[in-house]
Amino acid sequence: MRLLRMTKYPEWTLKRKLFGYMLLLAAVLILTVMVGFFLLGRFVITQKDVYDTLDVQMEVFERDIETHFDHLFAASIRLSYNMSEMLEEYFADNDVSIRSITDSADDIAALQEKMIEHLSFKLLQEECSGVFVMLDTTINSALENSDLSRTGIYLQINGYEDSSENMLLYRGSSNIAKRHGIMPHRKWRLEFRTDLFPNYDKIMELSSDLPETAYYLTDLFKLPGTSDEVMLLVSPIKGSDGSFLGVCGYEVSKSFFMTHHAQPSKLDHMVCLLSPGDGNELYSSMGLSCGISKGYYRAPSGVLTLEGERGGLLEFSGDSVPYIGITRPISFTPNNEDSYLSVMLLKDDYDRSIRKSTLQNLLLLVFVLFFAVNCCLFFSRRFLSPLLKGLEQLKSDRHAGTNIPEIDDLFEFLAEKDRKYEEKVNDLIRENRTALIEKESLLRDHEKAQQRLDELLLALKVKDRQHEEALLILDREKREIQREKDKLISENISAQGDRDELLSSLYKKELEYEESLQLLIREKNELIEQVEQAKANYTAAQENLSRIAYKMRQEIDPDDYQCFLNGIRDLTAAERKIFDLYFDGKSAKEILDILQIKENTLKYHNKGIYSKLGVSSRKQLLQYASLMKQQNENGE
Amino acid sequence: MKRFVSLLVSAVLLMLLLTGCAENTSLSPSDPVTVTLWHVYGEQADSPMNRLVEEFNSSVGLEKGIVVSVTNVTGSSKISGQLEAAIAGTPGALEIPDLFSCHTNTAVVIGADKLVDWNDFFTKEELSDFVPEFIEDGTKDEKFVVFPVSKSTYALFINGSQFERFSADTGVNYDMLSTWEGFFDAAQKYYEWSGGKTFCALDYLIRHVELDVLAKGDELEYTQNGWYDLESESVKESFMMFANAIAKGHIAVSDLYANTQVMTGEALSGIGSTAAIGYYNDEVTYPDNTKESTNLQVLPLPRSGEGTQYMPQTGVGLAAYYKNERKAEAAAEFIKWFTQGERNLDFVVSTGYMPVNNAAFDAIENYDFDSQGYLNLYSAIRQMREEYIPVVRPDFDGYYDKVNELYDGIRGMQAELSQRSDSGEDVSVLANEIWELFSSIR
Repeated sequence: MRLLRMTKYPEWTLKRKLFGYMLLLAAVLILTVMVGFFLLGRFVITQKDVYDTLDVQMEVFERDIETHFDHLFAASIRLSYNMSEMLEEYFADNDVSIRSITDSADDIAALQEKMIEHLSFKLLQEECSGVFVMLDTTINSALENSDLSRTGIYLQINGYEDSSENMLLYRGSSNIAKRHGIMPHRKWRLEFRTDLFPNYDKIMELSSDLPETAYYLTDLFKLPGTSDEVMLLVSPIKGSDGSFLGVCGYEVSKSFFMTHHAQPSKLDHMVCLLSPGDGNELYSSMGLSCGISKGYYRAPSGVLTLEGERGGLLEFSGDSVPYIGITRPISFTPNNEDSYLSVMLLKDDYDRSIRKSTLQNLLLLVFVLFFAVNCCLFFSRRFLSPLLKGLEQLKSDRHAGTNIPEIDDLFEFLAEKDRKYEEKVNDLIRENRTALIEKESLLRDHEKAQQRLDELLLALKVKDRQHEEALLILDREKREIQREKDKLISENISAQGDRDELLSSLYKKELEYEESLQLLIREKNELIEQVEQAKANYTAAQENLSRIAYKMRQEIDPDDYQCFLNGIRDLTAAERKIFDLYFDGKSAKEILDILQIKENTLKYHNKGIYSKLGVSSRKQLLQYASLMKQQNENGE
Repeated sequence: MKRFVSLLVSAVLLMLLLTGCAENTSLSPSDPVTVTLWHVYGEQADSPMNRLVEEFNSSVGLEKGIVVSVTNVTGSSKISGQLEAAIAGTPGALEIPDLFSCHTNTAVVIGADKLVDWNDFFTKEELSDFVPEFIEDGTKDEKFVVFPVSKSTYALFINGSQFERFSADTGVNYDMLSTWEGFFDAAQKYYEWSGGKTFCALDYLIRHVELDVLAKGDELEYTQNGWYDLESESVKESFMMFANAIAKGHIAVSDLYANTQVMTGEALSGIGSTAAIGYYNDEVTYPDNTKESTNLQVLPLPRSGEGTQYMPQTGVGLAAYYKNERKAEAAAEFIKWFTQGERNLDFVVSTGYMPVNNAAFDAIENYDFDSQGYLNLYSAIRQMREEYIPVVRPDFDGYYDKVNELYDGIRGMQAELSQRSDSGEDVSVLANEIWELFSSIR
């Protein structure tokens, strides 16, 4: 509204006002689009995109892990039955038992000889980094801590390699392994130690159950002597009579997990984690993790705290590098607590994508604004240029056509108006002339009346003088009569008769004087009435002239008129001559006759006169000239 | 409008100016680059390298936007083949790493033009901190492609517990093992004392032949195929010295690594890389699961005669496969951090290597070792550095295939040869079979 009010500014040009309105329209449209975007959630789309991407990654990762571990548990259970069968067959053939072979190097060697090929085959067959069978017996029970020692075979491969070559014997008889082309591990030992075996107590608790219900996923632990951390998928080996023969299973090392579960992803920096946790915290150091197949991997460390959900996305803090991601519980066995799968994006990446999206929206807005402003400029210029051209034409009095019907109509209208105006001016000129004539006549009447008045006044003055003289004479005579009266009174009696005669004479004289005085007063009053009448006529003529002048002034711009007056000084001699003739009320034809010049010469001079006096037509010139004359006469 | 355009241009110029003022690096902590690493430090064992990588990732890596990801820990003998398979795209091969441990000859096989020239990332002043010979060793085709991070030599590792019993019974002592003559004498005595067990397993037999030839003052001569000149009397004499001992079962070419044979009690001692110390268990475990402390003793290589003695200088360096400038710069940053004086010292002393920078070399004299075995090792290394001349190993194309062919051949025949020797066959004939094997390799 403020902008609307601003466009009302009268000092604003048409172009600026039109631009302002168009800009306002563009701003309203952009605002509407932005509100639409906001309502449709366009501004939170990045967050949703990230969530959707991570959700898909989670689906893939979850399927990957579930399939892998489920398959390995199944393989572990099968291995348990295979080993059980193999052991029972050996026990039956040799009439021994798991207990009786303790301290029997031959039986243990024979069993390992039977097992090693099967295990090496299983190691190559399954997706794992190791396979083991730990029997519930030992080769030398006489040794210290022999109750913790268990014989068996543990084969490993390098967890980083896809190739299963270079199998190593981590636990078991090195001689037997060498005969089968398997070298001892650098940190080889002959037997297992139950105190070093992860979750051994829990595994023993489950050992009374069948392998298909007693399978178990151990905690992540560091293989003694190495820096490799592994999880074991363990199944008990049960005899047909339910006796506990040992445990077997597969190993998944950190390096194997990292190499084989690297996830395909379009994200640049993503980490997937399988770890224990409680829904609020994830113990990443106790879990397995992997990166993405195109290379990025950074093992998360420490306890990751899950914080503030943003549209399904959680913030994982606690590590030196914060992450954003999603997490889901996963259950591998009925004997383990839920683990958690997490798919995490570097928080920096997430923040950057949000910033990028915001910047893109801003850039889009700036671009649209820029485009809108330019469009407004272009269209307002495009629209106004013929209008302005028309206005220029109006100023210059040249009508060449503008391709805008409304303006061309306006030109016609103005031309028509001009014609009417000219006619009106001509009428006014005529009226002016008539008024001038009337004025001259009135002036003449006025002069006559003035003359008559002067005469009357002179006559009145003469009469007055005569009257005064007569009064003086009468006064003198009165005084003489008074003196005579006084004389006569003094002569009183004698002259009583004379006195009456004289009084009668004086009375007569006084009557005559009174009559002549009354006559003079009447004559004077008549003269005064005539003067008043003449004055009234003069005033009426004067008012008429003023009215005509006022009327002319009302139609004339004072600035233009002043320009006109100033321009007269600049006229050349020839132009001044022509102007004076116009000023005297001569027509063009009369001027041609007077000055003996051709019509084109007159037009040429006219053009100069018009230009210098700031008028556009002879009509205007005459109008201003009339006013000037009027003012000259009035002495303004 | 003109004002808007001029403002826009000013902003762009300002940005360019500021960009120009910024540090000239392609790394950014907000957009970390991953450097995949294959190394050979701690294969099948506790890896100090992996711990250092974690430390780097959580400190300098975090600060500069570098994540080093270990994607293979293997042995120096295998890494070359794995690299070649990766580069060739062999099915089942791993992805080509960005940074990897390798010998200079492996870099030659890969092609120096495909590797990062460390001269582009290190100033001359920075390189002056390193032992010049090591830098020269890693330079090929005028490109410094293999950065020395650690160097090793060979040493004699002995099961001290058993040796003490053997010594007490036979009078053989460690001093006797300072020369090959004394060594072979002790080997014979041990063979007899132990009832036919190997005195020593050798990881790199042929290198001892070479060093013996050099110690005699002769030149090592090679054929055009990159194998030894079999016409050389000196070569044959040295080779036969070892072949005789092998034929008699006194020594053996190790099955894979000598340390496994020592820790299973199959051999009393082993000669191998000083870096093998990390793989020796604290205990030797015998087939009946009885155990005894290894009491690891480490001695310098036996001397050949009285002349100039030579010691192998080996050990891989780090090379980077050029993929892009960011990865190359990130790899260089990791190496700079990794080879800094004290860190390099901590690393090498935990892995049995020799340091590569001058400061670490000086500091090793006063290092406080936390195990007697490591103290023994560095005592032996110090003695060899003072008394022996280091010699780099050959890097002919295909040379190591031939060497492995020789070792595999001897492994396949040595048990049988010792049995035949025990049964009274002429040892010289048996040893000659080993020479024939050596001679058959072209």
